[in-house]
Amino acid sequence: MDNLELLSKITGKFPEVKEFLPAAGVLKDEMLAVSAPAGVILPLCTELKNNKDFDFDYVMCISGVDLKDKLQAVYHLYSLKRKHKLEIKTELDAVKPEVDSVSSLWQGADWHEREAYDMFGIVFKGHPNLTRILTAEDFEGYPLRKDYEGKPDNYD
Amino acid sequence: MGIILDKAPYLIEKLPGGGLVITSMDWVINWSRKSSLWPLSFGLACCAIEWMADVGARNDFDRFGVFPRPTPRQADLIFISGTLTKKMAPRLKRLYDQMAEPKYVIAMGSCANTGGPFYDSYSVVKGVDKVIPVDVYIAGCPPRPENVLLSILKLQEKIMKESILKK
Repeated sequence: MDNLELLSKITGKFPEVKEFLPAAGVLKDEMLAVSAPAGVILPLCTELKNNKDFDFDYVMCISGVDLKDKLQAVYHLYSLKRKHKLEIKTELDAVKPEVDSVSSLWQGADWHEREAYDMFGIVFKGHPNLTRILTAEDFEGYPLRKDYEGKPDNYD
Repeated sequence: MGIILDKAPYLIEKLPGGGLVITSMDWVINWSRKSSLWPLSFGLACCAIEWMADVGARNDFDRFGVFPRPTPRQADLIFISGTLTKKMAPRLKRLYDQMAEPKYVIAMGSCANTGGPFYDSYSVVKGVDKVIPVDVYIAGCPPRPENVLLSILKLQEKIMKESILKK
């Protein structure tokens, strides 16, 4: 399925989903990027995984972006069977960044979400074990946020 | 062995000719210690890959008695080969504590010496000497095998200067 077809099928089912940059027609071989509100992420991903037209069976990456006034969670999906890719960007509140976890759909999303939580403090609601994954258990703050300033400890 | 090394030197020193006995004992003990420096097979980052090549067949550190051991109970020496993160630091301290005396530490590469290119990171210890005492520092990123070899020779020199009377 090419990008334009993918986009029209997604927006047909979820009208709140918008194309992130209007380039699907131009960039035929590039990854389609769409933006979606945080509330629609779980139903959208459920549809993308379970509908055999989309068949996104693999989550390549879930990451965070700090845009200073807001945070962003970015999902990269891939279909091993149909060989198409999709990027979903969702904007989150900078003070209370919360989005539904998709780890119930893809097992691989588990650690990606833990990493995004560890680095950006994005809370994935419904995650089975949302704890720090890379930094130490007693680490304070979210180190990849722009306003992060670490306090010197006895190792500095 | 511990009681003999702790008590006997101070008794022997008072006897006529005891000083000569002490220096002879020093030499034998130091020689045996420096000739069988068994390092712990322990690695942290890319320096560990370099270190594995160093103790391999081409450079053959075994000719100096450097022979990796898989447990800290049997190791005299620990190479800190790589970046020490703050999460790893308590684990390294624990490994060091599990090693039997006498024990020596060689900090291998820039990361182990000072934190290296990760000095400004939120997660990297700025030099392994913040956690455990270091005997020899090796510069390099990673150090050349010759440089690692030199660190062992330097450590052997240092061991030969030790005396059972000190401490």
